[in-house]
Amino acid sequence: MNPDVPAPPRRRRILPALVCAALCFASAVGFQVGADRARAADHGSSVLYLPNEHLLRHATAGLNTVIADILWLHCIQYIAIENREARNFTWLETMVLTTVRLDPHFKDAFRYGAMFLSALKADAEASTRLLCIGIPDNPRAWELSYELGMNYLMNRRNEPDARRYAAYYLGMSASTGLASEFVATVAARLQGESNLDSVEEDMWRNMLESPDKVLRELAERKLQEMQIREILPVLNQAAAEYHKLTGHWPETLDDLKRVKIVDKDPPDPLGGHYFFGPDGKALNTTLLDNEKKLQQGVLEQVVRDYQDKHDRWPDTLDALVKEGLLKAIPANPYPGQAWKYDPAAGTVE
Amino acid sequence: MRVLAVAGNTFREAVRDKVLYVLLFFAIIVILGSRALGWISVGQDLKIVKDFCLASMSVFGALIAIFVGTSLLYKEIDKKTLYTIISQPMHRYEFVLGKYFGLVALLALALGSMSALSTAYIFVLGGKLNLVFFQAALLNFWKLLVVTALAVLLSALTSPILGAIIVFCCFVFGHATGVFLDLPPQFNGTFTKHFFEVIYYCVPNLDNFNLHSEAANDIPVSLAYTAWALAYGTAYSAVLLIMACLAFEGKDL
Repeated sequence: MNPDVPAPPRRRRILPALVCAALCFASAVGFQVGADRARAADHGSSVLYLPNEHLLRHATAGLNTVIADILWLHCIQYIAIENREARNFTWLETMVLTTVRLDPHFKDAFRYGAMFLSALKADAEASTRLLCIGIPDNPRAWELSYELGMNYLMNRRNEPDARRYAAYYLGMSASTGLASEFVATVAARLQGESNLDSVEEDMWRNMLESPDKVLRELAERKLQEMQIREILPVLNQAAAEYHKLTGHWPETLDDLKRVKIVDKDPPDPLGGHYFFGPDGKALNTTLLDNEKKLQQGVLEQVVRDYQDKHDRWPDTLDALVKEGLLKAIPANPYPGQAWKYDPAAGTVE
Repeated sequence: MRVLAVAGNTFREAVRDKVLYVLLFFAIIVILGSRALGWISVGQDLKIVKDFCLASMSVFGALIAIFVGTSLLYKEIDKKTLYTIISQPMHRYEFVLGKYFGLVALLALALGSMSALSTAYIFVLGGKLNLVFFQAALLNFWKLLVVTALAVLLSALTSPILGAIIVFCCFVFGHATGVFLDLPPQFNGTFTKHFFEVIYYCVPNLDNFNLHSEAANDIPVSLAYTAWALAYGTAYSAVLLIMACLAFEGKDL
């Protein structure tokens, strides 16, 4: 300090500075209250209390969105690997939930996460849970209520109120004013209770336009499965004719060809073949294999839940029902075949 | 005027610092490289690019503030160049403020460059930017004002390494202050809850300046919120600067 500049006494200099600092601090507290109120008004309130995931967000030093992106990319790779191998998707729900907790506005993670949970893991309830978390945080995202509506329509169609919920959520999607014409058409068609298969077909055809290869492949496969499902009622009719003619049910397509009810094998674009159950019902190995894999995945997941709880594998699959983990053991989709359970390894075949 | 002279010199000195260019180089690599991650996403490439652009501004801006800020005053004392400055007709607080504003100018230049690069890059990739992206970039800069003020305060009190460690911890912890309000319901009405509420208002809340999620997902944020956050940052920075001035005034040189 230059001696030419007169210096006031030290105490006289410090006191106003301290008062000034106190005033600034009080202002900072006041502004924090204001910021909290403004943010609450912007985003609404949280729908669930999940302390661990909240804590995770706090521990990212402001990099929550980047970590969510990396986790989502990891999740996509996980889906691709599981889809080629075991198809259990054990960690899918956890990964997607963590991603969306880190970035609650990550619309695509909600949408595709829900789609993968229902279409690949066959866990429609987890898919519903995920979308129910996403909708309050993203009320303008028409895609989320649309997916939820379609989830009720296709994956939970056997539940008593499924159509009512589907109509409700599709209506919600259309009411954002941002949904495509297709959504409004589906909502209108649903209200008229028209053919649900055509609704499903429209959805997969719509997905065929997606720029993403994984989604296009999924849509293509689902459309091929629909083609197979369309052939089954025709074969059921042919089996009934055969029964009328011969007095017993056909076992293979060759039986039908022999009596000239059909002249050639119906196509299966996915490489499977058709046969008949003991009651004459037409079946297809592609669809049965899909169903078997999904049911097997569900069973193995519940077996693992049992193991987590008791620290040992269940002795039989019935123990899962006794424990209340399942209402009943799902039947093996192949008629006359039972699940083979290995209590030493906890695997189901 | 004297504050501006110090600020100008600080800016010129900091611009010559090699650390700045190393950090800016890495920031540019992260921003441009984020496109590669988008290739393995399911159509979220632009969202990922926006996230990485904003995260680069936040992290590399904070690193510049920490590395340059914590050595600002210490270096002058250590090299004894401070004595030639304070022998001039100048108050010590003017010197501290000059140093602070010089560094703020440097950060404005660095963040301005990163924002311009991000904007151009997103446009080149065919993306669109809404107002919320620029709100997020502005709040990133305001967050660095608080971090820089803290760095200057610690520069007056401790060595650069210790100061850098403390400021970095405060940067991480400052994003986690919400945890003090997220207590389980069993804490309701207890002393602990009130204690943590007091802590919540004392620790700088850097999460106020985090609009990355909204910016990357095009969720509009009210101007009122932005104004509150800017006011909060200004007030908190003022508190830290006053403390830095007092600490430097009382320093035995």
